[in-house]
Formats: sequence, C-alpha cells, structure tokens
Amino acid sequence: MRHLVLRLAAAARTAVIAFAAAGALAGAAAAQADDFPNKPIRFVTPYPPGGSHSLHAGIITTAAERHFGQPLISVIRDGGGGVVGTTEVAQSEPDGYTLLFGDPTINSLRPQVENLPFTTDSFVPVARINYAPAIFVVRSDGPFKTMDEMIAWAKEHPGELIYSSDNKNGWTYTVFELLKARTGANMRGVEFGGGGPAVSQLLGGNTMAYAGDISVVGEHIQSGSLIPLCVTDHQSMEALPDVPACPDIGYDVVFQFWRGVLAPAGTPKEIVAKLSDSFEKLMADEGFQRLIRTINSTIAFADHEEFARLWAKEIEDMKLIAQQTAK
Amino acid sequence: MVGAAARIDRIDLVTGLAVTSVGVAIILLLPAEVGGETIAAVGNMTSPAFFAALSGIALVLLGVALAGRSLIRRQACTTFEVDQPLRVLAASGVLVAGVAGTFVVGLLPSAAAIVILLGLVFGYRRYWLLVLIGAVCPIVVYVLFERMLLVLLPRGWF
Amino acid sequence: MVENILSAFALLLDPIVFVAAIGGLVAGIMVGALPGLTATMAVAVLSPFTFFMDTMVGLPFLLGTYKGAIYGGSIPAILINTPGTAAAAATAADGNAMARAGKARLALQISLVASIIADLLATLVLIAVAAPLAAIAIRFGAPEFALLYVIALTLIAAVSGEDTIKGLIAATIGIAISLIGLDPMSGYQRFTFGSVQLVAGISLVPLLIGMFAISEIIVNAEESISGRRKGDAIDPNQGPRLTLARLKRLMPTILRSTGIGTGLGSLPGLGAEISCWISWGVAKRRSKNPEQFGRGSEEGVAAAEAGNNAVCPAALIPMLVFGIPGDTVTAVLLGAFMAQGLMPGPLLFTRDPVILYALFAFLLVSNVLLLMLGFAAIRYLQRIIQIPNGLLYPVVTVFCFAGAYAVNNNIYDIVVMMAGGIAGYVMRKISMPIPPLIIGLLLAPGLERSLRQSLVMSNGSLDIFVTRPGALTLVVLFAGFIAFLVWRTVRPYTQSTVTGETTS
Repeated sequence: MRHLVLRLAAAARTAVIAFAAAGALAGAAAAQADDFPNKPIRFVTPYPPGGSHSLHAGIITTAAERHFGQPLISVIRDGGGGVVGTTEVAQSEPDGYTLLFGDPTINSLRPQVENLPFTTDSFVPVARINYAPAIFVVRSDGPFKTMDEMIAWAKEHPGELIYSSDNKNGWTYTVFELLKARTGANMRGVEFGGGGPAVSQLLGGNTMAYAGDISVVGEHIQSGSLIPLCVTDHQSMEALPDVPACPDIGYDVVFQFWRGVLAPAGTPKEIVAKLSDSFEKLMADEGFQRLIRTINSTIAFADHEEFARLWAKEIEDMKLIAQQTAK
Repeated sequence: MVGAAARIDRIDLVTGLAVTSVGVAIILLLPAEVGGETIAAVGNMTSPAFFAALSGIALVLLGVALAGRSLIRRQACTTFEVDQPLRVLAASGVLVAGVAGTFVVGLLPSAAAIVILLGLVFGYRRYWLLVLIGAVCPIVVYVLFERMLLVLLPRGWF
Repeated sequence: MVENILSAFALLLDPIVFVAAIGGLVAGIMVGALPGLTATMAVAVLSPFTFFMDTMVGLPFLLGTYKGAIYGGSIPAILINTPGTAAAAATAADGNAMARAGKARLALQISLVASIIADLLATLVLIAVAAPLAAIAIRFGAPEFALLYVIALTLIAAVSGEDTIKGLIAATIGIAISLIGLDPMSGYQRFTFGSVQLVAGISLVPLLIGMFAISEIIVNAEESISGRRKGDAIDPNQGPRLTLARLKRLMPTILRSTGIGTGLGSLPGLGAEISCWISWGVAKRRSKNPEQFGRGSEEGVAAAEAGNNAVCPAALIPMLVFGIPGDTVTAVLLGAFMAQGLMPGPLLFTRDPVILYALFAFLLVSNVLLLMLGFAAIRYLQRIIQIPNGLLYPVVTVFCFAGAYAVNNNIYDIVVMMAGGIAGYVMRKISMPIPPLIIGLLLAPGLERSLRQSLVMSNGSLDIFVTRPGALTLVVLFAGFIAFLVWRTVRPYTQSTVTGETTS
C-alpha cells in the first residue's frame, strides 16, 4: 500500500513537472511571440542589387519600421542565381528574425527540378506582397506583330527565332518553354542573366523576342519600340488593358511572378501571424503605396494563410510544368 | 628585432613547378568538379569546362616554361627574400586570428584585438594610445556600419 | 527649350541642393578613401534612404557620393599604396612610387585634375550625344562584346611588366579563379567542392581588398623597423606641384583615357574597375616612356584616374536613355531614379525635361565642387601621413575587415580577403605581377558569357564574328593591332640584317 502511494506520488510529481515544463515552454513561445520583435529583423534579398526585386525590398524596408516596432534591415545576399541567399535563410534560426524575400522561381520551381540545398518544405509563407504576369514582347520593326504571327514565323523558320532569356529555369526561360511546349514551335533562347541585358539585346536587334516584367518593358511599350503580344495571366493587366491574356488568344501559358516573404520552416506560428499582420499594415501605409505606384508596381497582398494556400497550389502546378519542360 | 633574413634563390623554379602542378590539378579535377567533362572539352567552346580546361593546359605550359627558363638562365633570377620573417609571420598570424575571431566572437571584439596586437607587431611603443585606439576603433566601426549604414556586423557564435 | 534650361537652373540654385551635393561628395570621398569601403557599397546602402527625400536632394546626394568615392579611392592609393576602391587599383603603383620619390603633392593633384577633366568631358558627352551614342551602344550584341573582351585581354601584355610569362600565369590564375561557382548559363557547378559558399564564386571586391590592402599591410610590417620611416618620404605639402606646362603635357593622355572611359562606360557591363586598367595599358603603349609605367609615371596616374572617372557620367547614358543599367552602381541609381518617379527610358527626355536638365547641370557643377573639396582634402592630408604606421595600418586593417564583410553581408568574404592578402604578399615577393590577375578575373566571366551567347545565337558556327558589321570591324581592328605588334617586335631584326650588323 505504501509502495502504491509512493509510486502515485512519484507519478504525480513527474506529471506536475512535465506540465510545468510544457507550460513554461508554451509560455516561452508565447513570451517570445509577445515581445517579438525585440531586435532588428534581417530581410534577405537573394538577388543582386539594382534589380526590381531589391528595389521592392528597399521600399519595404524603408517604410517598415513604424509597423514592426523594429527596423527591417535589407540584406542583399546574391550569388548562384538566388541560391546562396535562399540557402542561408533556409539554414538560419527559425525565430522570425531572418526573412526571405522570395519568388516562384527560387522557391517553387527550381527546388523541384534542380539539386539545391533546400526544398519547397524549407520555408513557411508569411505574406505575399504582389504578383505580376510576364508580358511577351517583340520589336515593333520586326517581322511579326501578334502572337499568332510569331508562332507562324517560328514554324516556317525552325530554329531561327532567337529570343532573349534570363537564366536556366528562370522566369523568362520557363515561360518560353511553356510556349514552346504548347505550340511545338522551335525557337532558341540565349541566356543573358537578367531583364536589363535581355531587353537591351532585343532593342538592339540582336534577338527577336522576350518575356518579362512590366517594370522592365513598360517604358518601351509606351514609347512604341516594343509591341506586347499577350500576358501570362488569366486576365489582362490593369496597366495594359489592350493586351490580351495568353489563354484568351489560345495559348495556355500562365505564370505569375509573385514577390513574397517567407520564413525558415519551424518558425512558430504566432510569430508568422504577427509578421503577416505587420506586413498587412505596411501595405496600407500611404508612403509605401506612393512609392510602389511611383515605380509602376502593384500591391496584391495575401496574408500567411491565404499565401500558404496559393503557394501549395503553385507547387503542384510547378510539378506539372517541370515535367513538361524537362530537358 | 630578431630574425635573420630568409632567402630562397631561384624561386622561379619553385614557382614554375607549383604553377605546373596547379594546372595538372585543374585538369585532373575537371571530371569531378565540372560535372563530368574532361580535358577534351577544350575542343568545344560552348562547354562549361572550356575555359577551365584551357586554363589548366595554359598553366601547365607556362609553369614548365618558367621552370625551364630558370634552369637555363643561370644569372639574374628572382630571389625570394624576406627581411624579417618573424614579423611577417606575426602579422599574418594576427590577421588570421582576427578572421577566426570574427567567426567566433564577432567582428567588434576581434577589431579591438587586431588593433592592439598588430600595433605591437609594428613595433609601436605608446601602449596606452594603442589600447585607447583599440577601444575606440570598434565603437567607430559600430556606429558607422550598424547605425548609419544599417549593415549588421558578424556577432560570433554566442 | 530655353525656358526649360532656365527653370532647371532655378531648381539648382536652391541652397539645399548644394548642401546635399556637398554632403554627398564629402561622404563619398571619405568612403572612397577608406580601404575596404567601396563606392558600390556606399551607393547601394545609401540609396533606400533617398526614396523619401525630395528629388533634388536625394539624387544629388547619391550622385555626389558616387563621384566622390571614385575620386577618393585614389588618395590612399597614392599615399599608402592601398587603393580605396577597386577603380583606383591602377593608380596605386605609379601614384605611390611618385609619393615615395617626394612627389606626393604632384601625384594627388594630377589625380584630382585628371579626374575632374575626364568627368566634365564625359558629362558633356552625356548631355550632348546621349541618345545617338546609346543607339550605337545598344546594337552591341554578344559577338561584339566577346571581341571587346578579347581585345582587352591582349592588353595584359602591356601590363605584365617585363616578365611576360609571369604576367600570363597571373592572368590565367585570375581566369581560373573567376570560373569558381555556379555557371548560370549551363547550371553546372564548377570547382565548388561541395561547399555552399563557393557556389557564389570568389567575390571580386574582398579579393581586391586582400591582394592590395592586406598584402601592403604585411609588406609594411616587414619594413616598419628596418629603417624606412614613411613620415619623411611622403609629405603632400612639399615637392613639385602641378603647373600648367605639366598639365599641357599630360593632356593627350587625359583626353585619350577620357575617350576610353566614356566609350567603355557607355557599354552596359563594363565599369570603372576595368576602364582604369585599360586606359593605363593603352597609355603605356602610346607613351614615349613606357618603362616608367608602374614606377612613378605621371602619365600613368593621369591615365588611370581619367579612365575611371569618365565612367561615372558615361554609365548614366544607357541607364537614362534605355533604362538599362550597365553595372551594379547604375542599377542601384536606376532604382533610386525610379523611386523618385523618374522613369529612365525613352520617354524620360520628353516627360521630365526640367528635372533632367537640372540633374545634368548638377553633374557639371558638382565637378567644380569636387575640385574645391579635392584641393582642401589634399591640404589636410598631411595629418594622415603623420600618423605612425603602428596606429594607421591596424586601423586600416579593421576597416578592411568590416568593408569586405559589408560588400555582400557574407562572413566568408573575410576569408577570401585574407587568402587574397597572403596570395598578394607571396606574389609581390616572387615578382609575379598582380594587375594581370585582376584583369583576368574581371574580364573572363564576361568573355565566356558573350562567347557562349554568340555561339547560341549562331547555332555553334563561328562565322557570326565576321558576318555582323560591328563584329567584323572589331576583328579587322584587332587583326591590324596584332599585325602591328608583330611588326614592331620583328622590325629591329630586319633592320639590323639590312645594315649588316647583328644584335643579340
């Protein structure tokens, strides 16, 4: 009998300690979330400075302190086409103090087709800032002015249509691969590494087509040197209402380039939610909105749950795309 | 200070041999490090290993030429001369320790150590000034980089 | 149009613009003068702060920082043989040699005046012929770039010093180092040995800081007590000064280097770090005293400084006309322009002419400001020289550490810097020249990239290099240049045969 009492007491003591520990941990997590953030947050852009990605990052970090309580510090860690910075965030402490400013190529597509040091599971989505489709463009003095004409020309001259591309498995690359897969046209892409060189080669007459972001091609469309063919979205863009969506004219090429914030996997849910809320407030900030408009960009916010849904779906879509464009 | 000068005559021979071995190493490493290509890549300009193979071959040829030239030409060859080898080693040692320190304890404490130790290596006598600068320098760096430029400096493992 | 120019000047006369300009120039000079901190880093880091500033405050500040930094890098290059920025690397050899010979003031003044003249002329080119020049530059396709890179690489022969074999070895090592990393065109990883850090390759700036600055520090540790006191050799207040006569003699070099810098700067992808070497190399080729180059040649300093400062305005040409950045700095400036609502590109000139003219006027005026600030800086520099080695070099070292890290927020870059430092020291001791390594490192990636792009465009055939008019011109020029070189080398032998003598 005494034995039993002692055993019960021991068990009870263990239980109490276990509960206390659990409570303490939960409390610590909550406490962590409670006074988060208490030091500056690193906002990592994995691409070289000067591109539209780092430009957005600069705008976000400049306007953010008021809504986060701590400054957001823009850290540019480029290299390997985005791999180095992304890997670093994936391997950093999941305490919410290191965030990645990512996009679909580095986060959804490439981890599935390349052997990278991280996977799609290495991150949890925090917030989506915006998204934009690619715009297929050609020179206004070229031999074709619509998508139909371009594909027809490509079929008549197989292997002769040369287009500007960015990087292997990059955005422009994938969009063209999809187009080629859908139409069977034989076109060759030259990788120039980024939007700037790609557009300049197109303008200079060295290539015949390109597909990119409005921030890179918008001015030239407006001035008339480039003609837009279609946008890779389900509907037309607000900024270019006359340009049809590719599916609407018979080319099922849809690839939205989003910009979003991700945290390393394992970051506590409360912290993710807190960050998501702060970003939402930032989107409503007047100064922030004004700057975004000034650089001709848009805001299309999605909080962490919505973003998680969209991203999961996209990963599935990317699997299909990867299979279709696999070389 | 102590330390006689260190000399190696006809260092070109050593350099030539070293360069040749680097070239050979590059060629041998080609298959492993450039995804399966071999030295045959030199014939294919679009291969990612083209310039690597070219460099390897060039280094072998140039290294042999250098070594050969140093054997043939007896006179007027380069001499490797270090006047104060201990000092040089000490300075390099402080620097390398500084690098290690940046990883382990962060940049700012290592900066203080570098200032003080390197100053001693340079033979600076006013120790109090050295310590003072050693304390002030990291503060200046901190203010400039972290506060003004918003660049977060390495913090170390703790 | 006239009232546009007048309103532009009105915008410029606001005192706060001058405050911003001077602030930017001073900040830039200080950043440039600190080895370890680079112009690119300063502009990249300061740019977001300008987003919320007024246009005529933020942009002058940023542009002033850029100009100031490119100039400022030459100051430590001359005084302590440690270039403050990558673009001043070519100034260090001649500049420091002059300084040790008691001609520090002259070197500093040449550097300042050459930089200003080059900047002014390049700005005038920017204002006057931006559009037509850009139209030509835009037609430069991959084949033309590939040939340009090849031509630039042959200049290695000019910068190798006496020993061609060692120069070629250094260049090849530079090329090999540039290959390390992920090759974006093919997706292959090259020589990364499984390390994530090497996937990004070897960063240029930390390596440069190491090879020039850290190696200099180690060299100086050696010389510190062995009798050579820096203080009495280098005094910027003594020694010959720049006279008009001297300046007139240097003008051809300055003009030529300005031309080179402007041309290269307006091509996307080639920046001040390359242009300084090419200007220097060409000047050495064309000089009557080529053996002086690297040993204290005034032409060398003038050429290097003119070459690198001409790039600043020239790089703005493709940026403003097409919205296409040439290098990192212009990419960051582009972002800053966009954040101010100025959309560089074909519509910029018609949409915002007043602001644009104001900025052009600012670019011209800032040179005057820089000239004044430069002379003031030279006057006060004697304080720096009087700092004893034992204090100066350790502090410089600390800034090198911080700067190498700050370039890419990468702690491993400090390791790169250290490796570069030891390598640089060894190379100096075995008389292997460092400039060819830098040139190989800078040019090889561009050459490989444009070569592969050209071959993709031509489907693997080499005749794309002769069927395109631009490429063909460059090939002809290049062949002519090589033929000329060969003839010059062979000529002494043919002449002596004619006269019946033999030379050994």
